[in-house]
Parts: sequence; structure tokens; C-alpha cells
Amino acid sequence: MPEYAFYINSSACSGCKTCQVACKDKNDLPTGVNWRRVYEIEGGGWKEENGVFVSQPYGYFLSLSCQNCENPECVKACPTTAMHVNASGIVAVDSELCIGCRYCSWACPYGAPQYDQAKKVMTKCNLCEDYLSIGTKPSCVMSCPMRALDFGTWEEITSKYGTGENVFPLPDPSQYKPGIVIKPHRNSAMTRNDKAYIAENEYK
Amino acid sequence: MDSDYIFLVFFTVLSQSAAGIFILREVMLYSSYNYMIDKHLRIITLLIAGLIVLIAIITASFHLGKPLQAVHTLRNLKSSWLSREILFILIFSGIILLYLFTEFFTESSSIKISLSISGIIAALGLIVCMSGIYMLKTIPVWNTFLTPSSFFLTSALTGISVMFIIIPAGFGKGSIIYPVFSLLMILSLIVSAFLYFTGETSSVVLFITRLVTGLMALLVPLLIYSGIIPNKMPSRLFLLLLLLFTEIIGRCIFYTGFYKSGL
Repeated sequence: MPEYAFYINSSACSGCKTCQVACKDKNDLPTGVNWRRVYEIEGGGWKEENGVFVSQPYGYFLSLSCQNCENPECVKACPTTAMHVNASGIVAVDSELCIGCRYCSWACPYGAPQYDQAKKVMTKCNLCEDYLSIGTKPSCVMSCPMRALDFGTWEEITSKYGTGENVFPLPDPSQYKPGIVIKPHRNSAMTRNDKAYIAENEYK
Repeated sequence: MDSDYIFLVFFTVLSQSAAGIFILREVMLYSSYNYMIDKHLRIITLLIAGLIVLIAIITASFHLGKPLQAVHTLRNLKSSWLSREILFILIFSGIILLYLFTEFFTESSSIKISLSISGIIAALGLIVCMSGIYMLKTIPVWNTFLTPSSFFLTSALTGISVMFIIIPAGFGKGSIIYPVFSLLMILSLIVSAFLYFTGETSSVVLFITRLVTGLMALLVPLLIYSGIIPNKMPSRLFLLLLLLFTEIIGRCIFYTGFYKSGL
């Protein structure tokens, strides 16, 4: 099982991106580097029902960062061992070893490793390790006005919320064993029969 | 396509070309075609392969954020295909260098045979590791047999083109090389077509360019083979440039098809 886990209540997430801003502020991240990202998933449209066209669009939000996977693909792919699991069990980057090849970003299915153009190295969510050491939760969790996020050890989170469900567009969790528990938005069920998409990618 | 990928396009095509040249050279040397390669050509082919590998390594360093720290790339041989690729390209380069020394300073056939076999293994290992890098679960379009097929075909086609630009018999009338080259070129175009149609963001302009230049690369050796164009250096050089161009376009299709499953 993964060491740590985030909990996301997608039903409660309003997509306000406070978590994203709090993360950028706390970690002083430059433009384009987002350790936490709020994805807007959309789908639906006009559908014919009994000869009448009705509009059935739907959407929901997913706030995601590094899932601190049990089998981190980024760690396996990294040629320099810059991407490693540190003594606290957190997947971290050693910027002294990183050569900025970006291979970890190809291997990660969650878009967690982010390239810092100015520093020429990969960076990623460190679960606010400094906060954890003083018993505080990560800044994204603390800032969420909807209390849609939570964080703890895998045991704490799963005993509190169960193991959750997988939702579009995340890959099958059995492949990577991510440290994430999701309470899906009711609209995510629509993606089983309909082609949904990530809004940010669609409108690029 | 991300502008940084252009360095990877050149790195992959060039290093695969060097592997192809080396393997074809060794196959010819230890087959009934060895009469085609005299000592002068043996040295030239090694120099060309070595020079291409050197250019490939330099080109690859441009896509790194911190190329001066590249010495750390051998630290994860246990699980990283990228580490393994670097190891194999270093071994391959070292073997070419040693081989070059032996061509000048020794006639010992046992040393040459061992360098030949280890060089072929290193060259094949390099292409296998290169394929492993791209065969990621997160990138479905690359995670198929098309990736190693495309890399091995580039190796074979560029290897043949470079070898037969310097060997006088070349693609001349009656040569067995033309049918082999044509078959590989057709396969290469089929692989490109699959990569284009399975890649979500591939460019139609690139695909049409690949088809046109690929068909021209089929036609030019046919004209040489049938004697319509003389089997001389300018036409063979034109064929090589045409082939390199079409392979580079093919590799651009490979990279533009890049899309990730998940996020």
C-alpha cells in the first residue's frame, strides 16, 4: 500500500483553485509549474430524446497532485536516481542529480513531475514535508474552502473514507497503486457511456 | 511537437544509423561480400560510424536541462531504460574506437572478430534500449511493436544507404541490395502510416511529406538499378540525403503522435 494518501471529495469541489494557488504560494512556484492542478472534466451535449433535442452537458472537477504511488513509475524511469523515495517515504527530486531530461514526466500517468524552465530541473509536490514534520497537513488541504481535500497516511485515509472509486481520466489504480481516495462527483458516472474530456486540453 | 524533441529526432536517427552502418559492415566483412570492402573502406566505414555516434551524443545533450550533469545518467541501470541506453551507446562508441585502433595497429583476426561480435551486440542492445525508453504504459501509441520496428528499419535503411554510397558496386544493375532496400523502405512507410493513424496529434503535412519522399527514395535506387540513372556518387549521395530526410520526417511523425493516457 502507498505510505500516504490524499482524499478528494469531487462532489464538494467547486473548482475554485484555491488549493492550486496555496500550493504555488507556499512553494514559490513559477508560471507554468503547478504541483497541484485542478482539472475540469466536461462531456455531454445535445441528445435526441423522443424526437426532441435536449441539452445534457455535465462537468466536474478533480484536484490532483503527486499521488506518491506505491510503485512510482517516475522513480523507475529516472536515469540518475534524482527521482527517489526519501527516508520519509515521499517521492522526491534531488535537484543536484536531476539532468532535466523530463523522462519522469513521460512515465508518470498523473502529470506530477513538472519541469522548471528557469532551474532546468524537474520539480514536484513534496507533500509539504516541512508541514508534515510539525504535524500540519499540506497547504492545499489546509486552504480548501469546501473542505474537499484531506491528507494522512494510507491507513488513516482509507479507514475514514474507504478506498473510493476511480474516475475518468485517471488510469486504473491497480497499475500504479496511487495514494489517492476519490469520492466521485455524481456526473462522473456519465463518462462510462460518453466521451468526456479535460476542458483545459480541449480549448488549448 | 515540443521544439526540444527535434534534438531527440536527430539523436535517434543518427545513433540508429551508426548502429546500422556498423552491423552491415560486419555482416559484409564476414560474408561472401567481403571482397567489396578493402582496408581503406574498412577504416572509412568505422570513421563514419564513429563520427555519427559522436554527433548523436552531442545532439542529445541539447535536450537536457543540465547536460554537464549527464555523468549521473548511469546511476539507475536497474530500472531505467534511459540509463541502459547511455551505457550501450558508450560501449558501442568505445568498441568503434578500439576497432579503429586495431585496423591501424594489428592484423590479429581474433581481436577483430571479438570486437566485431561485441560491437554488433552493443549496436543491437542500443536499439533495444532506445525502444524500451519509448515503450511506456502511459503513452499507448509508442507502447507497441511499431516503436522497435521503426527503430530497426531506420537502422537498416540508413546503414544500407551509407554503405552503398561508398562501395562502388552500390545499387548497380543486378545488385541484391535494391530488392532488400525496397522491401525495408515499404515496411518503413507502412510503420509510419500506422504511427500516423494511431497518433492523436500527428500532422497531415508531415505524413504527406513522408509518403512523397519515401516513394522518391524507392524510385531513385530503381532508376539506378535499371541503369536509367548512372550508378555514380552524385546519384547515390542524393539517395542518402533523401533517405535521411524521409527518416527524419518519419521520426517527427513518431514524436508528434505523442499523447499520454491519464493526465
